[in-house]
Amino acid sequence: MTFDQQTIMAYVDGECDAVTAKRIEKAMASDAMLAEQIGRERALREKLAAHYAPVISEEIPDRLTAMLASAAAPNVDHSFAGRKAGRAHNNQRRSFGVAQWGAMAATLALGVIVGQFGLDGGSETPFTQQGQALIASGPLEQALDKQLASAQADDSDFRIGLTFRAKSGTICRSFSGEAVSGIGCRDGQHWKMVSTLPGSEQSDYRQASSSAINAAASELMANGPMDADAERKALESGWQ
Amino acid sequence: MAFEQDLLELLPRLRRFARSLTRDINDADDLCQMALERALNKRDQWQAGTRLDSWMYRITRNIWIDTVRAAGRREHVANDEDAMANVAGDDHRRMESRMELRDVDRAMDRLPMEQREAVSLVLVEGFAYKEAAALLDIPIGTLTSRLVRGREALQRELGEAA
Repeated sequence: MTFDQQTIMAYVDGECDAVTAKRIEKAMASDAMLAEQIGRERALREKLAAHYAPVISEEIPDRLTAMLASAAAPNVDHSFAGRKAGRAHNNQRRSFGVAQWGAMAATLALGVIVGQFGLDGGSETPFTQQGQALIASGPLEQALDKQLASAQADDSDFRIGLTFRAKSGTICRSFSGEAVSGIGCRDGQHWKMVSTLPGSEQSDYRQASSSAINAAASELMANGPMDADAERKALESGWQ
Repeated sequence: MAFEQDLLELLPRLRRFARSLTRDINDADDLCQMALERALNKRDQWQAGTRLDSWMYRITRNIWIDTVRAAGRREHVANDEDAMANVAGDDHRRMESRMELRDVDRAMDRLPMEQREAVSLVLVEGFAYKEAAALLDIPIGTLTSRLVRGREALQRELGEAA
């Protein structure tokens, strides 16, 4: 008696009906090939389970437990916007450590950026502050205004990632640099930061940063990222 | 409060699921973080009495799909080089065992997304076919054919060592 791959797999996964399972077991007694095949499937299952099992007993990072702890506190708005607004009038309680950094991923991390660059609007500063908003300036503004993802100079301070239209209708562009990465969205003639994270220079944050930015971008996106043509047209129309 | 407590208890499993989807520990925890955030924001959409774990796995899986599609495929070569650099200082035996572990990561990473999520839910997370199919919104027949193909690919990559 032969069994197809699907039936053998179902048997190994405990998804076979009792009659088929009995038949397979009976056949295995005399069919060494079948027994070997089932042995291989079992070994694969065990190998995968064993490989990922240690994750279960790992200590859970603070940034994840902290989210749940703060969520359990009453009257907390967990939206990005809500958390931004919440921080604005909770400034006296802001003493974020490294562990909390992740919890802030993809939200506006003004404190760090201000600390790093100052916001005096000098020509080399990538940001200026306007009220609560952070506006691209200097080299970052240049990059967001002029640089196409498909044609980037090696010596540019910033690399442009995705260009996309946000659900709000404005055009946004993600960027990465040595000191800071983020997403800027068109606001009149400016690029307003909706998301910033430490850049590639801060190696602790490097991986978290790029995937958090991409995730934030996909949350914002109305459709999908623009291709090279659409990106060029958007530049020509002044990013409107 | 109970909702947060239930999520906390689910976290170790969610982290394992995320790890098998993304391969990278930081990406996996980022994914968990985004899933938690979405769950907290949409908690009123979860129907009490239904399985919270299936709901959370579904959220996690959907964010993963969105993120990968938005980012395009990542540069595997760079990742592999990083991995090699990390084991360079280890003694030989330890390195061998690490390399074997890495084989599983790499083999999983090479699976198409729809096979990887099926393998992960059934073989790693232990969901029944019916549960996994419901979670992925696909018929059971689709799930099992993805499982067969995923398993075949993994056997080809890992067969002798398994």
